[in-house]
Amino acid sequence: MRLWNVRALIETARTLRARGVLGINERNADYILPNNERRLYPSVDDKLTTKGLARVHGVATPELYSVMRFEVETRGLPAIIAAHEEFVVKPASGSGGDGIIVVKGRAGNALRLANRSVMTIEELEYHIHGSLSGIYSLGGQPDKVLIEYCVQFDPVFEKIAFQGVPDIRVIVYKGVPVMGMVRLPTSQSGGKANLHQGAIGAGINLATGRTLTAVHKTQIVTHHPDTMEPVFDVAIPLFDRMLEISARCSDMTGLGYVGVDLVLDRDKGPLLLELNARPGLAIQIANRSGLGERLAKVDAEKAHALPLDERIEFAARYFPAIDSRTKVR
Amino acid sequence: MRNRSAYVAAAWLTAIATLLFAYKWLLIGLPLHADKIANAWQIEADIRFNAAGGPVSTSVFLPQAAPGQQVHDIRLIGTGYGTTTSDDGLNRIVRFTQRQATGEQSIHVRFIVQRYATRQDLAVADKQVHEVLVDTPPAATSPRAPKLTEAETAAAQSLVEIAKRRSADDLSLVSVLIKALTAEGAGETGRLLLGDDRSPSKVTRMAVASLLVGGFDARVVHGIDVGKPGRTSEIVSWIEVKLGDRWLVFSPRSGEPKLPSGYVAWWRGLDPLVKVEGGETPKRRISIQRLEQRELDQVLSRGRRVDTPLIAYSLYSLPTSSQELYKILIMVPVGVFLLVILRNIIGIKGLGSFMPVLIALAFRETTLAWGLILFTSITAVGLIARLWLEQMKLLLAPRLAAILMIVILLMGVISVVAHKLGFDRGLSVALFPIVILTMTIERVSILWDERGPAAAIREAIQSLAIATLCYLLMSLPGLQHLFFTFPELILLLLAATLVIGRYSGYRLLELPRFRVLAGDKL
Repeated sequence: MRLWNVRALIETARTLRARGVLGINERNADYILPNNERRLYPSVDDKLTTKGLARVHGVATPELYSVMRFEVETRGLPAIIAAHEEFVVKPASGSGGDGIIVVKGRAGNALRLANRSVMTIEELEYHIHGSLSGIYSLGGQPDKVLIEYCVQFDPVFEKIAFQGVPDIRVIVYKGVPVMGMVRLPTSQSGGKANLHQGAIGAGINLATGRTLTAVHKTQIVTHHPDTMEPVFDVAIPLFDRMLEISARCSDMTGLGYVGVDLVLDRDKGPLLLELNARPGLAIQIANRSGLGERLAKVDAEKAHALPLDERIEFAARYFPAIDSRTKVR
Repeated sequence: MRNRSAYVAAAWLTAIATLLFAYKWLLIGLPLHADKIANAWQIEADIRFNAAGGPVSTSVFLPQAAPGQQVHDIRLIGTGYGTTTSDDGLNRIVRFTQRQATGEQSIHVRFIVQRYATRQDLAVADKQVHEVLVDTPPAATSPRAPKLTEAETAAAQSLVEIAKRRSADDLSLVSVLIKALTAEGAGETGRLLLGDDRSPSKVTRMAVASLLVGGFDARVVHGIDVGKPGRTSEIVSWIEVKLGDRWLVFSPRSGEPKLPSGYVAWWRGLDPLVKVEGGETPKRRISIQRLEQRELDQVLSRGRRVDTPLIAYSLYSLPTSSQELYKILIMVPVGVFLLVILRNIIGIKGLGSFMPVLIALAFRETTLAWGLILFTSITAVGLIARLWLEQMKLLLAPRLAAILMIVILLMGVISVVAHKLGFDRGLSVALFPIVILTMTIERVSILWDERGPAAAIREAIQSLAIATLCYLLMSLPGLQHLFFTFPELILLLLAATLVIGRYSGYRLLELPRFRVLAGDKL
């Protein structure tokens, strides 16, 4: 990274622009501000609201075991622990996977977590109290805590996910899926599927549902850093169905530019985890192509006016593979 | 892009701000530097004479304002005298009168001459021609030139003839005439007109007389040279000639249409500065003193005197304590603007949107080095306290309150210890915004938990670096004066912020982030 090399900087900026790579400013000014009305944000910022909306529109989500709104409700924890071997605790307004605890079983009196650590029930109570008082919510407002079904992820990802749940992110623009990736936890990300914490994201060919190369931080990688298994050309089961759910989610919220996070459960199929009104831009590196180009294509073809199934076809036809101009190092 | 209203607003704001700024700078004359010393001189004429015992009337000329030059604070002091000021169209005259005066009389005339280097003046200086606006009215009482004898008139006529032959136009004619008059080998004409007295004042008088004979409109000007301050200063004189519809000045020494830069006109015509009726010939002494006054104070006091609205309703009209407050507040937009650039153009952001600006404000009081030391130590101890509180599993609000209490106690301890050790800078720790400190500690400790110590320390250091940058920018004294004197510059910042708000290009740090998509040229 040589920031003082002005000529290289300008050349890089020009090339990125020519390849339609979207920057934060452009994403905010030209896509999020005009297409995502502020009043629609609560439906995605609060996972409980999202769940309710999804149920109405026939989109499956992980089963909700319990909602906690007040500190005293943590007294109900032992009952939940007794009823479910595995469960997930998540703040309703958390962002970026912060504050999520995945319980995978018991270790004596304590709980065994997905990242192989152990947590006592008191520690979990304290964690829930903190979440309720808004540590993880935007602006620190009081929050709710959801306790829900722990996804049993599909064996297809077994070799390329490290101690966590891989999820599938689809960017939907005006109801048309434009780009997708699988986010795979690594040891660096502590089992979380978050790219800026060190998870890797593999791009997806929207036509075939097969993975492409992946992004790790800002680099393109072909293998999982922990398991050393190849991450490319992995077929994602039920990907057509996921595209359809994504488009449906965009329709149900009214948001014109939205990131849809799905998980693939071994038994229940694709489930909606959460929606994101400001999805990140690293997905472009995962797919080795610019979002700007695809968004412009949707606008140019007026694809948003098509019925749902034709929008999926549109995505499969126009956004299949990587940009051949960028090569793997 | 499609939304142009931000650009339209920015253009309007820029236009308004630029106009206001230009008006205040160029026309009102507010200086761009706070410590610029004014071009002002106090001039005092000390007049002494013996009165004969009857009515006494003493007239003294007063100077007038000219382009780029002001005369103010005129003080007329004469014990027992009444004063009347009159204007004959050419000169201003003050008359000191008393019905009965005996013995030694003492009269003082004091005034301040101030020069402004406005754009207009500079343009005139470039042309090297000094234009004078005062026209000679027919009613002017002072004679224009000495009466010439017949021989002298003839000499003057031939002098004009010679000058006419040797010159291309009227401007060079005057120059040639003065040079011919003063040249060593001028021969008969020069010697006849000047006699043995070749002083500039004699040259001036004879040159004006010759020019009048030659049909030019000319006059003698008396003045002083503020370039040579002193207790006893000489009156200097030069020539003004009307060419076309403009009065131009000529130096009797060089003959050129240019005067030494310190020359200030006082009165015009042949009369002496002081005329006494009913007393002896007066003795006069003139002193010139450079005033060590800031141009800013000059302009402000002048603005208040003549009630210039933009000064009467400026931040300078506030009480001093409020002014001090606004000197700080007015710099906040500058710091915030820097943050906007760092975030939206460069792509760096610290803890919280505007926290670095608040930290920078605290640094103003503590000074930078102490600020950094105090901030780091309080945050470090706060983090340790947070770690201790962590074990107790407190709820958020009580935990924040506990940290805040510990922070305040810590500040007290630091102040007392620093005071005992003789570091009075340590006392200024009390000026840190405690809520900001508390939130910083909380935020850093959450980062510590979730992203690890490295990320937390990195973000904290980044925030401190941004705060330092803000502080350095906000405490530039030149910038502070500029924004306090010309608050409309904030409108320029506002306009720039609106434009940045619509900037949808890449942030600088996005280029390395996405470099693999551009073939990795960085």
